[in-house]
Amino acid sequence: MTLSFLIPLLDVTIRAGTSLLFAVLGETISERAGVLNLGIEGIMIVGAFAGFATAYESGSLVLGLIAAMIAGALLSLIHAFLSVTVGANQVISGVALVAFGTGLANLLGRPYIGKLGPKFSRVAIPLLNKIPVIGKVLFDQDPMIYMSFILVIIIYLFLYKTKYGLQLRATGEDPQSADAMGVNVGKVRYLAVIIGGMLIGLGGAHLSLSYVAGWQDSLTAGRGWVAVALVIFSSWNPKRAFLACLIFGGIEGIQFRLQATGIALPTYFLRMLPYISTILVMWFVHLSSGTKKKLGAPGALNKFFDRESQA
Amino acid sequence: MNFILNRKLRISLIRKRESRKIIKIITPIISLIVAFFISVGIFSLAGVPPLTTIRVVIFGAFGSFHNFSETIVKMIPLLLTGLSVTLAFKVRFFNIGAEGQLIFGAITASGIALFLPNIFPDIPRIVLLPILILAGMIGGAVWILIPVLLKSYYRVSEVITTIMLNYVSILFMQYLYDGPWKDQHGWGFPGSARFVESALMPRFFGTRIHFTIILALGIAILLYWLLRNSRLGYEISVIGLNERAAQYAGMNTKKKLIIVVMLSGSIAGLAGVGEVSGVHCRLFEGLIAGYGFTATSIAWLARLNPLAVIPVAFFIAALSLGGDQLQIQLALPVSAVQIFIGIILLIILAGDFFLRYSIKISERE
Amino acid sequence: MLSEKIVEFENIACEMKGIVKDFYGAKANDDINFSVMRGEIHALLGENGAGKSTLMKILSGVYAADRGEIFINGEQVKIASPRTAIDYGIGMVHQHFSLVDVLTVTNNIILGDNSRDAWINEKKVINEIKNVAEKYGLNVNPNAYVWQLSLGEQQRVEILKLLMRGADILIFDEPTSVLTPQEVEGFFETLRILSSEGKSIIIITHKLNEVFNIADKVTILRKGKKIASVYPKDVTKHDLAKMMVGKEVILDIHKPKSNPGKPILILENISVKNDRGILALNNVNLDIKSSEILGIAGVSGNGQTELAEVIYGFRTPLSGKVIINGNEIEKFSTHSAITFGVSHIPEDRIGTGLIPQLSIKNNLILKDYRQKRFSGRGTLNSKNIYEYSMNLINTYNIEPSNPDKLIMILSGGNQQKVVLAREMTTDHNILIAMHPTFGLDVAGTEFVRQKLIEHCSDGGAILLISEDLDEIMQLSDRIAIIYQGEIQDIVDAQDANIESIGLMMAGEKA
Ligand SMILES: Nc1ncnc2c1ncn2[C@@H]1O[C@H](COP(=O)(O)OP(=O)(O)O)[C@@H](O)[C@H]1O
Ligand SMILES: [Mg+2]
Repeated sequence: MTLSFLIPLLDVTIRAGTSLLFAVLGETISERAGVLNLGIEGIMIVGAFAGFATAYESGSLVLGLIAAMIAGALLSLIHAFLSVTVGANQVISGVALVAFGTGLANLLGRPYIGKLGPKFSRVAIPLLNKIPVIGKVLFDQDPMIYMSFILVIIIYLFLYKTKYGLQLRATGEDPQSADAMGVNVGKVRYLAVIIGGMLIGLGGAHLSLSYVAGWQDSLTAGRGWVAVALVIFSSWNPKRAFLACLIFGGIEGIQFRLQATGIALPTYFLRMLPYISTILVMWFVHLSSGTKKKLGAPGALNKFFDRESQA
Repeated sequence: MNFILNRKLRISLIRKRESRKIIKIITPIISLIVAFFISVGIFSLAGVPPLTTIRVVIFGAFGSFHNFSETIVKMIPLLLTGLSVTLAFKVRFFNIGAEGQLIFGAITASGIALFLPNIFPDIPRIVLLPILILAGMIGGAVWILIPVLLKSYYRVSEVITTIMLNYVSILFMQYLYDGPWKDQHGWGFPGSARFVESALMPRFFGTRIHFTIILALGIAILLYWLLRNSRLGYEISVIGLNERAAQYAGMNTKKKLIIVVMLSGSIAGLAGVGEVSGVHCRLFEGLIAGYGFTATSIAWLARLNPLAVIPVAFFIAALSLGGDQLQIQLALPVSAVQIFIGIILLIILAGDFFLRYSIKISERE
Repeated sequence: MLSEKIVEFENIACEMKGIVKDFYGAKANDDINFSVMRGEIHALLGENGAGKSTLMKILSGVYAADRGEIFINGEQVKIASPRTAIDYGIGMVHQHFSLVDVLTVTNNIILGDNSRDAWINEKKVINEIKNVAEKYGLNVNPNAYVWQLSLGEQQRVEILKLLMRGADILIFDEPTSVLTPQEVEGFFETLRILSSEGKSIIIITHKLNEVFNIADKVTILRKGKKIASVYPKDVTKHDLAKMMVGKEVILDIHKPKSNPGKPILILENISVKNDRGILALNNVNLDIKSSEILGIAGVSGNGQTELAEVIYGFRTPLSGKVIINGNEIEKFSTHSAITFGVSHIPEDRIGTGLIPQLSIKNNLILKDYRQKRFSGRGTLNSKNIYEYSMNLINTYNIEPSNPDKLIMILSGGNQQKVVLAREMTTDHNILIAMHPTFGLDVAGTEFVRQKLIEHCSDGGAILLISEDLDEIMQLSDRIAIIYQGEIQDIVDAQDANIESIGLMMAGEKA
């Protein structure tokens, strides 16, 4: 493979992986606190819409990002209320959010289809961008991509090196014990779901403000569901999330490259790649690690906590 | 939980183990009404005046005999996919992929409908239709086989795999009617060639209401009986409520799960047969309608009771048809109906709160 | 007069007045007054279900009382959550420990202490742990994961956790149930040191001996009501038992001498791994004869669960044979165990043995539903099911006597009767009874034990697994002592002695 083929491929890999990375990080925080938020697909698309529409109307990318985070937070708040306060079925609640979010974004997004709005442009980091191959791929990207790199580190440190991260993990692992030790389980879960939702919203915004740079119907195209799978693939670990998203960015990159080379395979099959890979990846993860515990799933994931209920 | 309202009154939430039947029936109905008005509010945000929405929806669904018959037509796949999801949920298999199974059932049936008459040109309807139906049901069952095997042998979450397969089945269908099964005279119409007459479901009363409705109603009654009065139904309830206890009772939970879930897939597959052979007369883009989510919300609204799925499916069909009218008359996107589906589900879930708690207002001592 | 009163006032560490707590319409605590002095070791005595844990969970913020007042050091306080209780210096060691399994001891300690810095400094905490541990003789490895620790060690972590955040009122819910008799002595010694430092100790128990061994004062609860607070030195064991149960009780059940027949169940060289992949049973050899009860004595977590699971087919052994009535089990599945005639009273009634959301009758046929009389031609025969259930409900005095009622609304004792009725009625060769009286009151316990004895007299073979050493001693013909997955010894119940069994339970070969 020549460099002229490789560099664009790696470049797309990073760019396609970024929206996933935001979403996976957001979901990791939520699930680590014990709340399964399957609404990613819906939250992401609403974030993408809110980000684009706001940036388009105001001309400000920063305002766009803020809008995406607010949208993500609001939708997640619904989920937090249903799963933490009401104790509703988290799977169904997530599905409901996806239906609602997709419908809402498509409805409100109608007038914006095909419009050109502001978009993030590449900002090279001096010196670092001169490193062969890596420099071009990692350090000549848009600011949101740098932001995602930094987030990986921050979230990792937060989860494993701070008291609050410890409380969050304990809440997701064993809320009864965490509660008895004085952790405010409800508060931790609400915060985790909402902050997670903000990140997921940002993931959407990266699509509409950078990667796709525009609005179209059903913009996210199942990326949210892929992100759900990648959280499992990365064992709820932010560092591995980075790798997982690279792999999936790469799959998307390969798909585009192959399409561009005009290979005989019908595009329909190429477009199946991410979905089929997701299934294969899930299978592979479980195949290689038998029981649930070893996978690293939080012990109380998808379980309602009510202090006064028995066992 | 206690909330102090003012100095004299306090509201306490009292936890209940069982809730009264009347509350179980009333909550979904109230939820539906609330959801309807919230959706109307959202549409008005998008520039459609509330009264217009209500008028268009109601007229679209019930405005004429034709519209009403179309509501029934729309209800058939919703009823079947709703039943499919209900059955799967009973064994705690969260099948969100009814759309994929519907499409795959439609694909297998279409394969038969398009090519079997080429081999046996004189094949009569009475022979061809049962083959179609069987093929579609097998198609749906096979399509769900991957998720259920992955779940029972490797504990892979069925939510993700069934949804991924929705996307795959859509792409596969598009490939078929865009490629090998392309309608040679279709001028780019997103669908396959038209089926021969003998591959079409009989229709009633000069409307598009087709024979599948009878099968669907029959399946609803059968499932209701099966879940309540049969050995398999007993096993399903035990497995769904407590898998460990089911193993303790010596049940082969894996095998039972696979059987029940494949049944579920085949019911969704049948819905696909009905759509291609009863409504569109071809494999057609119109099969992509978000059935996965809609079926989930129907099953949940019906509280997983197969008989209750009938009225709920009817109601949602009316709304969808009204939604189609919105789309046609007011140029709203197809997925706008999804807003409504999403809101219903969210409100229903919030309504569960009242099943678990009763509210008591008492005077403080 | 005045000065006396002040002194007394100062000495009360904590007082609860008029506490009421209702669960689904049943009063778990009914107008209870309770107080504990500084430096006092106060026992809270009562039968299972009397409301002891509920009262203490209210004090430690887990449950919110419906009514009542709480005073700490004379000041009225409102305890809304465990957090507030902790801030008032109240710490509780629950019966199911509040430790996060997948975290290390150190991380659990940090988690339990909100005053720590946001940035975790493990080295510093480890040093502190070592200091406190040394002072109170609470030896644990700070770097171990909690799941690696025995229950006794976990209890020490719990105590360390309370001490390190400076708790003044320490509550222990049935703390001795996870300890060997010798460990109990060490634990009591720690309690005495703590109380001598002025800390108040509340120890929940239903064992009379413990009250006399350790308590300065005892409060007795019965059916949610407080019966009395007395000094142990003023009463006899008999008095306490009467207050606890409400009527004269015969504390001993008589088991007639049995005549064991031919071996029914034989285990040969069974080894098995647990869920974490660690060897849970190592070369176990056992046999149980007809008309015999074989008791397994051991601290929980030493392989008892896995032992029952292997025989019942939940778990496939690495090696060894299970032979029932001379036939070797080839395939380990619950289905084949049932065909071989294994009946099983599982340790978690609700999680395994019953489906709380189903009716009594649907739980009674859980094992036999395949039989023709219940589901001929695939259709449930509701008439036969109803009659069969009515029959069992009457024989086993199950309350309520309506087979359509959900298991969920039954008391623990009646739930256990449903399991017992089903497992003893279904065709079987051997019965595994695991913690059969756990959580039952005296009447329920007596009923279950009586049934087991009758069953044995009728020729049944029973494997009895229990953490209650008294129960093992009372019911068994022979006792096998298990420690870390190995059978230490098998002794005749008649010449068994509690001291030596206790030693073997702690791993010291006799
Ligand atoms: N969280 C709960 N939900 C419902 N009922 C409960 C709960 N906790 C305790 N109970 C009921 O309250 C009663 C007293 O229980 P408990 O305080 O645990 O008794 P003890 O500790 O004395 O054995 C029992 O009947 C028990 O079933
Ligand atoms: Mg208790």
